[in-house]
Amino acid sequence: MTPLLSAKNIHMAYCGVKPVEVIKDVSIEAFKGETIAITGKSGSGKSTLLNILGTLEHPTSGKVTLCGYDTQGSSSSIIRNKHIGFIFQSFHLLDDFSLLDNVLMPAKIGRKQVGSNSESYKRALFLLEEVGLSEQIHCPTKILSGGEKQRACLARALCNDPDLIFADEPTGNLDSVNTDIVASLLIKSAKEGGKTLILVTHDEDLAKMCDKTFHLKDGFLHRIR
Amino acid sequence: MFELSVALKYLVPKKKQLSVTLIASMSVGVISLVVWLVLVFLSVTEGMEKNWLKKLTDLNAPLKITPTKKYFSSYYYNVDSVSENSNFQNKTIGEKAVSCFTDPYDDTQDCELPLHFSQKDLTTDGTLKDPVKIAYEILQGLKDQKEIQGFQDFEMSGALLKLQLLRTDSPLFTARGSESINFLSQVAYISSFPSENPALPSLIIPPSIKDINHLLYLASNDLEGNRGEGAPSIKRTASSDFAAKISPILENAGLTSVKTALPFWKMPTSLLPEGAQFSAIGYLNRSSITQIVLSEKKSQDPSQETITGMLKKENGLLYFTSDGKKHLTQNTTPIYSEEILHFLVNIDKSSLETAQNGNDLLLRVKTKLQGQNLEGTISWNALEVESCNPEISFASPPSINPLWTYSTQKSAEAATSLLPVNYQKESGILLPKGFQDNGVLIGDRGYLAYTASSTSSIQEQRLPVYVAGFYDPGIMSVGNKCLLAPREITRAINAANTSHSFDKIALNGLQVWFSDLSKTDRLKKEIQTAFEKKGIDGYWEVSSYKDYDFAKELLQQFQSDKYLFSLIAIIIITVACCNIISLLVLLVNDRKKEIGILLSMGARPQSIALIFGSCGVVMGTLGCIIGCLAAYLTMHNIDGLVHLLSSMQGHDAFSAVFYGSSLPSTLSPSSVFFVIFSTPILALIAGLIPAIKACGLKPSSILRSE
Repeated sequence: MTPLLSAKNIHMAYCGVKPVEVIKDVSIEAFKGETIAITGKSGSGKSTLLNILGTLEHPTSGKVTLCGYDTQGSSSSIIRNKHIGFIFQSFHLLDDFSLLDNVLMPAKIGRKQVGSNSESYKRALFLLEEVGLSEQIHCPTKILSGGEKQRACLARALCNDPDLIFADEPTGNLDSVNTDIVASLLIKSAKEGGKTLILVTHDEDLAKMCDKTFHLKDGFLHRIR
Repeated sequence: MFELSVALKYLVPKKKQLSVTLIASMSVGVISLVVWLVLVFLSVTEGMEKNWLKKLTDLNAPLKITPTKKYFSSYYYNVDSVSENSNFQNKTIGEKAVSCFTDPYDDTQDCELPLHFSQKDLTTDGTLKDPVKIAYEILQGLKDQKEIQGFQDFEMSGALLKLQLLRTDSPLFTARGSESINFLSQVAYISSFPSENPALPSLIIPPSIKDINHLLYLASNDLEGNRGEGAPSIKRTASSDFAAKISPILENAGLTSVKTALPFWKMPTSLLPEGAQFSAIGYLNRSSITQIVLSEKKSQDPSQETITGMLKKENGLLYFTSDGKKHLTQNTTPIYSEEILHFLVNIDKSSLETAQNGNDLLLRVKTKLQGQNLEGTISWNALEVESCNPEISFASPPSINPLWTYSTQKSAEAATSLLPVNYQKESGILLPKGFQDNGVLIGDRGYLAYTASSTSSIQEQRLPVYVAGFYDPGIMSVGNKCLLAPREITRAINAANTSHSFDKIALNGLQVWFSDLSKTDRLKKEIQTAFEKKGIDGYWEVSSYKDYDFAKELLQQFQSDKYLFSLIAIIIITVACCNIISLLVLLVNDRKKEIGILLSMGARPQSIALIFGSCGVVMGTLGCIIGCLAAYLTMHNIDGLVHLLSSMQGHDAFSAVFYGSSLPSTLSPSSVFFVIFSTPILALIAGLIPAIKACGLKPSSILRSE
């Protein structure tokens, strides 16, 4: 079986007065429908690794293959738009747009039809209902609570029906009630939709909900579960 | 397009981003201001260029067809000088066009042709080719197709113009004041009167009130011996000639009001209405009233015995009441009006036909004196014209020709201009308006002197003429020295000067008129091709106004001005658009997080560049629209603005000599096109600089820092 995501011998070093190698010879594979958690201390390079896997950053060396594409050779923006959904700790919603427009944004970027009869529009409405935000679709995102914002981010990440969801500390900014809601929604959406979920977290409970758990220490990735 | 929707969201003013909002408003404002300035400036300069071009082509015609050297050396041209049928005289183009003979030579009666004569240019059927008639046919064809408005031959010559300027300060039809005679001599170019020129009526300056008064004065006075060298003397017009001399003026002057020439005008008692009272001063001599002055002032002359009172008409008799004492005045007691009276006037046509002097001319008048209406009929005594609308354009030929240049409607589109002949059978001439500025008036008489060689000597010849009007010469090669005279005059002078004339080519030719100057080149080509097809192209040179020597430099200057102004416009629009760069740099910094989010969602770097480029275009377009609207409003109200500027400065803001009577007030379409096209492009280029910066941002580093 071919993995959906395959990273081989990834190295990542930041140049400066004193070059720092944050990722050292990391290899990881993720198959369709798998949920993977990456844990590690703050500053251990978890987010950097997630950015490399999510094509937001290119590694110093090593190869990342995603849905059959070599991320070095292909247009990473097209891969991100079609195959990846991102969820960030700080939500990163667009304040100038309504909730619905935020959710539809990946579809707009992908030049899909977003009219009220379009598939994307219907899917956005469905996703917002799934995450319990169907009442606020025309509200500006800045009035939403933290939990609502993260649920909106989940809906946005799923809008283009991606194969992979990358979540960077999805519950990092939430209280315990919202953490539970968002965590369960995230895992549920990934499992039910057959999405591969790779998340970076400090939350042990969330990590335990995933199929596999990796730990990043001193730049090396170890499978701990 | 999601890039545009994002760009528009970024440009919506927000309280939170006050600095961006302020700079955006400033940028749009500066672009609007610059667009307004460029549009108004370019529209005014283009309008002025059009005005100058119109002036250039109105009199000189946009196309001229002149004979070449080949024409003058041809058998066709020279044969007239050896043919009895042509009176042994070369013909002008106009004469050739109406001549019955293409080849007037008759070998049975004329001398043998000189050896140097050119060969005949024959048509395919063996007859002599007639380049003039063929050219006329081609031009007539174009006229029939409405491609051109008209064409006519012209002839130029030169002579000495001598005018006698008879002036007076006495009221009309009286001999009270002093009279003076001055002379004006001027060497002048003479051009044949272009009666078919459709633009000529618009160039002719209508007779002024001063002209009409002068014509009326000349109708009643004339110079004796004005052709001789001795001092002329002034002669009163014979009463039998008065009506015939005055009618052409008063019939066509459109008189609307007259005024008393001097204060203390003797008023006919019939004008005073029954029962009305007027303040007056009575002059006494041995306690009887000798004269009455209608005046609201009290008498202040202690040397005279005067009484102040009221004058009233009762049952046709005039009573003067002062201090409760009522005097009956004599019928013969003169009554004067102290103030100058202004009368609305209707001339009695029947009196005009039979008048022998001014007193016979009856005027139905209305006026106000001391707040009371006066109405009645008066004779023309010490009155002068105050306002009139002289007829210069007639729908049908007038019953009595005016003494000034006029036009009659020949058909729905075409009018013919005419130079009249005066009572003395002298030909009218049209002078450039510079003469008017130097004190010449319509009606001034004089002569054109030129030399003609006889068998024994060179003699001066004089053609009597009078001034029949003034025209605006526009941009003419000979400026203010070219007078327009009947073609018989130019012909006579040229015929007398065959031995020492100017360049023949410049003297004679055809003028072609049309209003749409944009078709000049096409028509020139069309005429040249038609001449070529008919085999007469060697005889003619077709030149457009762009080829006229005197206009070339001006036109080149207009062209270089246009390029220079466009360049300056581009530079200032670019400078204005540079504001967009600073705004967008600020906007990119403000929106870094959003850029990172969009990139993480798969937006391509080009899309990010397009978002900020669109911001530039939107601002440029908005500024452009506001500027265009402001420019439209400015041009629409330009006269008011110029008036305001002039009143602020205390003198004319724009000289009428250079800018014309009013500034052009239409927005130039080419300038609008230029601005609408260039501003958004320059704004896009300005927007691209920060946009390139934006698309080079790395999403991971932005999102990490956020």
